[in-house]
Amino acid sequence: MKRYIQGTFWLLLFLGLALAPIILLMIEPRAPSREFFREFSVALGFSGLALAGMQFVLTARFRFLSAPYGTDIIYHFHREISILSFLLILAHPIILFLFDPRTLKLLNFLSPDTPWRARAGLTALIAAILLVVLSVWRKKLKIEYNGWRIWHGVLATVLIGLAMVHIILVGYHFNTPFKQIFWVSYTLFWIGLLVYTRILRPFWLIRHPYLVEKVVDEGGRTYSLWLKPQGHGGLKFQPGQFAWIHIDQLPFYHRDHPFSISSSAAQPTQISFTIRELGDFTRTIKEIKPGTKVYLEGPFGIFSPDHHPQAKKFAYICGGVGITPAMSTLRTFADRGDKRPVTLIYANRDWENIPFRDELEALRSRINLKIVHVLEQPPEDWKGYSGYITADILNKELDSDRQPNVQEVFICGPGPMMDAVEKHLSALKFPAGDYHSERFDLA
Amino acid sequence: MRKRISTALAIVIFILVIVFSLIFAWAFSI
Repeated sequence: MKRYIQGTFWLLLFLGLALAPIILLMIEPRAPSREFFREFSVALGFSGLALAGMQFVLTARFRFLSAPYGTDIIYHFHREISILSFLLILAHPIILFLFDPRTLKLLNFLSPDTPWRARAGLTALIAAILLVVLSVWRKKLKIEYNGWRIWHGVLATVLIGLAMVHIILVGYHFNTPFKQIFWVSYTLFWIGLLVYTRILRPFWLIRHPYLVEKVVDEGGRTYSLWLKPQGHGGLKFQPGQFAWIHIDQLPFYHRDHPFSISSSAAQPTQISFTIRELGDFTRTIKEIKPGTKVYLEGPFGIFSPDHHPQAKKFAYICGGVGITPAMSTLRTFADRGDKRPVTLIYANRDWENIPFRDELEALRSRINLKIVHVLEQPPEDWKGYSGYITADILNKELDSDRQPNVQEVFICGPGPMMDAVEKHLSALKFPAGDYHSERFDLA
Repeated sequence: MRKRISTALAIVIFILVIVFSLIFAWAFSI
């Protein structure tokens, strides 16, 4: 219940901050009346900018903000609301040009007759167009993720900064000291947010470093990175959560990557992340030397059994390295002495490359764990399930009681696997609120 | 499911912003 109240509160605050400029500018005494189309265009510009500015809040990784929804949903919302705010910003000049074609001459950036307010607005608009094009088509344009992130931040700052300059230079609606103070405060809020995320928080992370203790080969091109806190109490987290990792790089560079924690939440001074070789960055994990300095930003995420204290049973449906949050949960349950039943349906390519295969077997003696392996390429004498995770397997292995709040099911693995499992669970009439997934496609 | 709710909320916010913008334009044009 607390989560829903928090979620509703943040949503209403978001809406309030998005609408604040146009509501406050309507307070008497108002600026003199003008044509409807001109004021409609102005209102769309103000609202579009307010929504664009709110993206700094959404992507600032505030834990209190992501707690009710999950980080994946915050980024999903960020992508969608950003495109909608771009449409509002774009509509602002288009409406002006349509209803007053004389304003088209303001597009001549180099003309001495073009005022600086128009130049600032036009540059902000170009930054907005670039932001959307580079984000929506990043993969098609083959732009490297880290480079894109830096430019994304730069362009967003240019957009908000120059749009603010544009509004201040136009100054039409700021006819009272109250409205001027409001706009200055609004601007200072964005600057303060930028200072916090780009300078203050990285400084805090630098003062709470970790050192790599060891890198363990878990099989199946999967490696665990074990970290020890240096001079502080470690990371307090819930099993199933994740953190952003900066490896051998100061946090100012923002070259961090999100990974699930695989260690026990009962041991905050022994943190591990389990990572599979999938791309340029993950291929370097096995080469990291003990003693390397690491900074952790987190924990984040709601993909945790601790969010469902009422649950009587749990099930994890994992594919390959998607076992990571399940490992954290199983290790935590073992440390806590939690005997609630856990069913693990674990899909892998073959028997030889199953990450944590031996440790999972060992955990069966410490907790109430049932393991169901599903192998794509099983050995000849294999008696278990083969192929992919099907509705039939789920129907047989998951709890037959499909009442709400009995068995909480967590799904983690490759996107197509998660899509298929969600579809099967829905068809099997599992309560929609009882199965959970968290997707790391944040970019 | 969560993603669909998030999309729906983004669209609701977008519509509300347009409605308030129309009210703003009307208030300043009379």
